[in-house]
Amino acid sequence: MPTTYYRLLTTYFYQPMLFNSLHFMIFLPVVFILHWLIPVVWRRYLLLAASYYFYMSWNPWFGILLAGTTIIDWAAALKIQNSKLKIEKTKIQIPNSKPQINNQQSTFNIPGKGWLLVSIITNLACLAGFKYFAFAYNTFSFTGSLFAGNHPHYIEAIIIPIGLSFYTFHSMGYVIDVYRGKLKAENDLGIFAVFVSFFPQLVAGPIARFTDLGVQFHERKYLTKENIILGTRIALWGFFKKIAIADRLSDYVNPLFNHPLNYNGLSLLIAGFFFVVQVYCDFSGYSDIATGVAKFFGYNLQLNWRRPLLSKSLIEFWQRNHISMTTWFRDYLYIGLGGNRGTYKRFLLNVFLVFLISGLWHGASWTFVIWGAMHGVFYLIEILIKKNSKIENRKFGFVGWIYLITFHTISLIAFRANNFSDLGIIYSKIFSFHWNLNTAYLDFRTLKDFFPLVLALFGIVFLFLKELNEEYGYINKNPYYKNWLRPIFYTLLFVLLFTIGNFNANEFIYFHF
Amino acid sequence: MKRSLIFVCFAIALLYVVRSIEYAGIKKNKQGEFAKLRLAFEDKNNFDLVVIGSSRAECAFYTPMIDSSTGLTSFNLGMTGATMPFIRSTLEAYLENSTSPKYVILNLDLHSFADNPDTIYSFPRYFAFLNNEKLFQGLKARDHRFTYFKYLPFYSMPFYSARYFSSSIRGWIGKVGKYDPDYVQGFAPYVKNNKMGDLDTLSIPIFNTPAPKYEWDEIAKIDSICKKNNSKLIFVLAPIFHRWEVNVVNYGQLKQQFHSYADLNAIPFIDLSEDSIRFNKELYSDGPHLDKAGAMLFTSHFIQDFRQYIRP
Repeated sequence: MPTTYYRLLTTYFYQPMLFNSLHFMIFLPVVFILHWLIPVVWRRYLLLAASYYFYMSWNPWFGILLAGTTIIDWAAALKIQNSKLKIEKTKIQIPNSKPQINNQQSTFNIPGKGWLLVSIITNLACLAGFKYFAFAYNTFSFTGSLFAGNHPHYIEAIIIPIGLSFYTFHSMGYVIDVYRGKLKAENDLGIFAVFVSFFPQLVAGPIARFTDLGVQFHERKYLTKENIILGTRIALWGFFKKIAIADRLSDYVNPLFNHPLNYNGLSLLIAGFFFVVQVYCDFSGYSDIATGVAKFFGYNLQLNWRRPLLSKSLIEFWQRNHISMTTWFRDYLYIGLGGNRGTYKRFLLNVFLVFLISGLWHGASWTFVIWGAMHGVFYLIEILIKKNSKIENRKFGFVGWIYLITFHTISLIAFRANNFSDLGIIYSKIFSFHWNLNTAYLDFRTLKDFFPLVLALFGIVFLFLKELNEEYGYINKNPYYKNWLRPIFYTLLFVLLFTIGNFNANEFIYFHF
Repeated sequence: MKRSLIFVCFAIALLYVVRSIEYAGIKKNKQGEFAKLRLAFEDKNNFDLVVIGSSRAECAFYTPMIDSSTGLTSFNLGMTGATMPFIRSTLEAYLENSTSPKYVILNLDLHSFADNPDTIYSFPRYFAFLNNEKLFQGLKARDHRFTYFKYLPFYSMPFYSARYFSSSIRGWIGKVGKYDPDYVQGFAPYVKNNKMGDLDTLSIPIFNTPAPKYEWDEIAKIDSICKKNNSKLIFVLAPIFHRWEVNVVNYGQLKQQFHSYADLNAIPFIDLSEDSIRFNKELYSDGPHLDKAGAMLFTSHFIQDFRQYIRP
């Protein structure tokens, strides 16, 4: 008997907690029941403990890093606020006196700036150390070898703590908001810690703002039927996108991108399109599950995806795609760079830099930088076209959608390619236009059985139909929609999930960003 | 809330219905892996000779040749990855619906005692056949999750890959799968792994685990089942490729132990471990497994020795 329990423990509880794992299926109900049973004042601490358990299931050491950055940012924000309050008090003590501005003062004398830099440097140092050190070292080594004429020395990347880019952005955004005076610093470390580590959104977003999520931990939450039903619906659709679409497509995407030399240009282009759908379903699926799970506890997460694959231009795409990241870069990087307050050229440069840095945020590789640069260039082209022509309000319709999907596919190939040389091979094969439909068919046919591909294509059609309905509300207007069609749809979705889903779980792609 | 509960119940009921439809389709396959499992665990059979064992038995005994040479009807019940406890369960499960065979051929594996006897390879393939109580009990004894697999579709279905779903659809539409024709009367050729490398140069692990106690206990149970059903149990040792044989450092000692056991319990032992087949790498898919040509040659050698035990 003890052996059975030991096996059970080692099988389920010493494994990283993916949303689609049995470990999480046990973890969630336990936390849910406890959350609603214990006194209100203890709930946030239960969520904090659960979040750290969730995170440390990946690697116990990651918890120390998370706690460290959390404490530093919490303290930094309080110090910034105190510095500002001291200045205010000084002003109050000398009535009718003009504000004392010393032209000689250094930037560090601006109240709280030093603590802001402490916070930013700490967070960026974590990102740089874990995520970008090997990338920078290898780039310098390669560049140096070009001049020295010797062989470059490469090092392996360090294991990146899961979700590092997300939680550093959560807390860095908070400290900047306190510094800008948009937000009052949180006195309760427990509340700030649970805001940073709240398990539904900890490892792959949405990137939460304290003004959206943090303040909710001060409110009393109630268990409501609406939250449970809505949360279940959102999470169910998220699971479907992840398990029945993204994970099925990965079986056809990975082999082609891992061995691009063996495949036809058309096959690689189709794999690129599959990857577009895969990455969308993977990431938005995660966001949906996170939003649904958060609703079970009464919390609302920010809307992160608004059907980006139905966009008709790149500008529209970035208004709908990964909204929490886009708005973070807008508020903290683009505005920090000067936004549109300088010259027009400077504005364009700022936009381009944001895309370049956002590319690098996604991964420490030049292929991500290329992806960011491509988006930056096309975004600027669209801005310039809009400025210089009177077609601003014209709807591009289907042509615009085709343009967006084609561009997104081509650019996302850079995002997925394993390295620079693979990317060159893929682009040269695609743009040589030696496409052959029969060879492409055989390429996919020999990868795996035909049937999973049919399931994957069914999933894609299902996804687009659902999103078209959400966009244009074809069925929503039906009088039977709310009482009958919607429940039947989600019932079928539940059954389809188990029938056609691929439960041989892949990790969520964005965990490593 | 009441309406929501109704829809949740409806969803769960629908899941049971879908799973039943899926299983029914799987059982409708007329050829292939699932046809073999249906024949073994659900149909009423009347075979004269049944081969039991692991994948080595499954890929070594070419049953159509046994039929044509001996006039008996035979079936290969060898199961991939089966260790002795599960081999015993497969025999019990077979006997649940079928009449007792005259001969039970047990192919021995002397190189795999280090394997965990509780591991069930490709376990989802048995899901559709868990109504066979003996099979269910045998599987449950090895893996406690089989209770949940049997009763809870939301627990079992995630383990079902698209492969099983497509097999079900093939069953319903009466289509034969790509590998289905390979299966003949339970015999299935072992698929050669081209990435494995040359058998003459491949590095081979050392095997030196002694036969564990459960092995002897299970063999005793098989012997008892055969005696109870008036079936003649015969041990067979199919040859493994000579380089593997060398690496089973206690091979001679193990053979001696099994011979002693057979002598003690009056069980005939057809020892083909020293057959010249073992020097021909062209007849092997990998070290322990024969390919189809190897299986045909081995079966012909087996028949020569087996004839003496055929009862009129």
